[in-house]
Amino acid sequence: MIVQGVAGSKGGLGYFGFSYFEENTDKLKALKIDGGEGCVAPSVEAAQNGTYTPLARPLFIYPSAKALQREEVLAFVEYYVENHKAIAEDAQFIPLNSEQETTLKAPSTSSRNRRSDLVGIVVSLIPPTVDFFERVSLAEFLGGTEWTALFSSPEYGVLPLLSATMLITVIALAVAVPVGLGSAIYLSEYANRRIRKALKPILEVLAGVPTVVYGFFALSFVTPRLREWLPSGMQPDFQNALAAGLVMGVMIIPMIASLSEDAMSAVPDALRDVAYALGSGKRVVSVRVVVPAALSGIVAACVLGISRAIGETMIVAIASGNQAVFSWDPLKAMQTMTGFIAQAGSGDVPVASFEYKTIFAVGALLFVITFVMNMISIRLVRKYREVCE
Amino acid sequence: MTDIRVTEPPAPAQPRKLAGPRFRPGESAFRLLLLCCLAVGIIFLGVLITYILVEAWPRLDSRLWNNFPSVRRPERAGAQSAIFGTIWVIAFTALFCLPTGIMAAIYLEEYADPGRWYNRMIELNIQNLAAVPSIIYGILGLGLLARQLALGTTVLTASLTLSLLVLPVVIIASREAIRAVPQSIRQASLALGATQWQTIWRQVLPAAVPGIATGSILALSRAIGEAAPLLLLGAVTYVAFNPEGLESAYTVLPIQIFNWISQSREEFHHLAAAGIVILLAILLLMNAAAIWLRNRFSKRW
Repeated sequence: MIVQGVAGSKGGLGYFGFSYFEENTDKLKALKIDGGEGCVAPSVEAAQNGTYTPLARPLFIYPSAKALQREEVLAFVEYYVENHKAIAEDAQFIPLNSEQETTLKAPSTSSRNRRSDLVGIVVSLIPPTVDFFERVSLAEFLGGTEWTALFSSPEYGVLPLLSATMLITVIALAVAVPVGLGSAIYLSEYANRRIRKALKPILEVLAGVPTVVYGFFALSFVTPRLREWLPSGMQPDFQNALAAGLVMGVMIIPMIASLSEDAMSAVPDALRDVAYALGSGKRVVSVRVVVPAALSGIVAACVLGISRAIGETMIVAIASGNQAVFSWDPLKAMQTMTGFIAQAGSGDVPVASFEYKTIFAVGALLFVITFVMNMISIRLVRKYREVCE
Repeated sequence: MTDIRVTEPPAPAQPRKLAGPRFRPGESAFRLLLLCCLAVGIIFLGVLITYILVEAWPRLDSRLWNNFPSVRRPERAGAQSAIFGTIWVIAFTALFCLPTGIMAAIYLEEYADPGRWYNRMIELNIQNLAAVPSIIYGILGLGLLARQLALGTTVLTASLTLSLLVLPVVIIASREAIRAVPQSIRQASLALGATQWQTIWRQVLPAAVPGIATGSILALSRAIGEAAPLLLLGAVTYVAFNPEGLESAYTVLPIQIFNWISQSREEFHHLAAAGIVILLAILLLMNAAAIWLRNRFSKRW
């Protein structure tokens, strides 16, 4: 994927595993880097003897001393050490050179017990969010434009995450609202019972497709098509907000369509009959009578759609990228609030760490936003029920 | 003499046409526009399924369910641990959430007095919970179940979290099914001297079962496809064994798929597509079962 991205764009530059380069030498050119002692070209030898710094690094495994006392763990580590060469080649990593091999096989007592047991840490009863805001002020959190929570010098300004969330939500709604509303009008005003019975299961299936699948589709189908169709000056990144937003829009269509259709079907027929009696056609009746009468229900559906788009995780985690950038350019890779939670939480986060609390702080913000949206939507639905009944 | 002028009645014009023109371009264009809207969803679904089938074709064979995942050899990697993990997690999710959800629905429909503030609160809460993003449930599971209650990242934590996630859906669907049973049935049963519980157990529930089953299947199929909360609950770690109990580490299909998508080797993308085909097949089967149940057993009162 990165190979295609670099090969496809002028001046493209990418960082990835050496083995991908070996597989694609016809399309790519490896660059030399200067790690302080002159330029070094990447090669198997340079990686082995450590001169290709800082981009080549050794891969360590750390068994804990306690675990090593168990026979099966010891057996596994011995197996790993014995067969490291074959394993590394299979995984397309660069194996160790002979000198490093001897260090590896030397009794590994010195490098034991790196990761002590985490069990027994008493979990603080104070919610981690409160802890977070004791260190980071609310103004810094909501006003800052730098989000580098997982870096060594962290900044906690949530605006980049928030702007990415909003941008993707806007793109999604630009697709979902017109299309969903159009489908709803057709289903409620035009379609007869047989067509409705045939179409509704399709919409239900569309609504039931897991979001991982949508994410995969956005990354490996929609983005390449965008690259083909958009002019060369507007090439999207390998992961970008546009593809994620478009696909998310399609994901929300069934929800907006079925909720708005419910609202439209609830409009009493008397209203339609009056309009027909005055000589209106079907289009005028739909647009000027039914839609305004069902407006609060339609708005409720859209608000619920917004809340769904804001809270959607897998599509953005897969297709929109993991860099928190404060930008409104939909062709760029960017990270949303949910994307950050997924990225920070998918590792094994130690409870005591500040990252753990960051997850809770961003989660709290996400919860507050969607909660407000849901309340608005519930209110609106009640209102249209009162009007119609 | 007075000049009498007789104003002649205006010559009768052409008879007025009451009906508008037969062909109204605005109307037809609008209808076409609406059809296009519907087509977007349908075409998208068609393209999605075709694309995934084409991508998955080279890898759609028995290796997928006979082998365990491997980061080293994509040609030998499979999803057995993920398939078994999904079965374990969903079975326990059903065990936890269906009885709770159905009983909550019975309480809300049959016993609760909607005038009381706490019942209104519960109702509002359920509506709201149904729309809370799933990753928030993941955070809840991580903070409360995995850490505070020290359940760890196990099958138990995963299925409890997923139960919480789909509980509102189960409650709402079951309530609708129970509400659809006409009041006259209850009144007849009560008039014959049955207690309230007898009425519910022997009259209301049997009549509502198809609706409850449909809703429950749809809720569980949502749980099967859910990946976001489980990302936080340790399902991402590389698992090369099937779960053996509630305390076991696990992975599930959507997470395994996510894992393969994040791998940069091209072979893993075919593998991801193949995993998606299995997942979609399971979901389509469940959806078809739900639709069949609805059409076969739903009564019109």
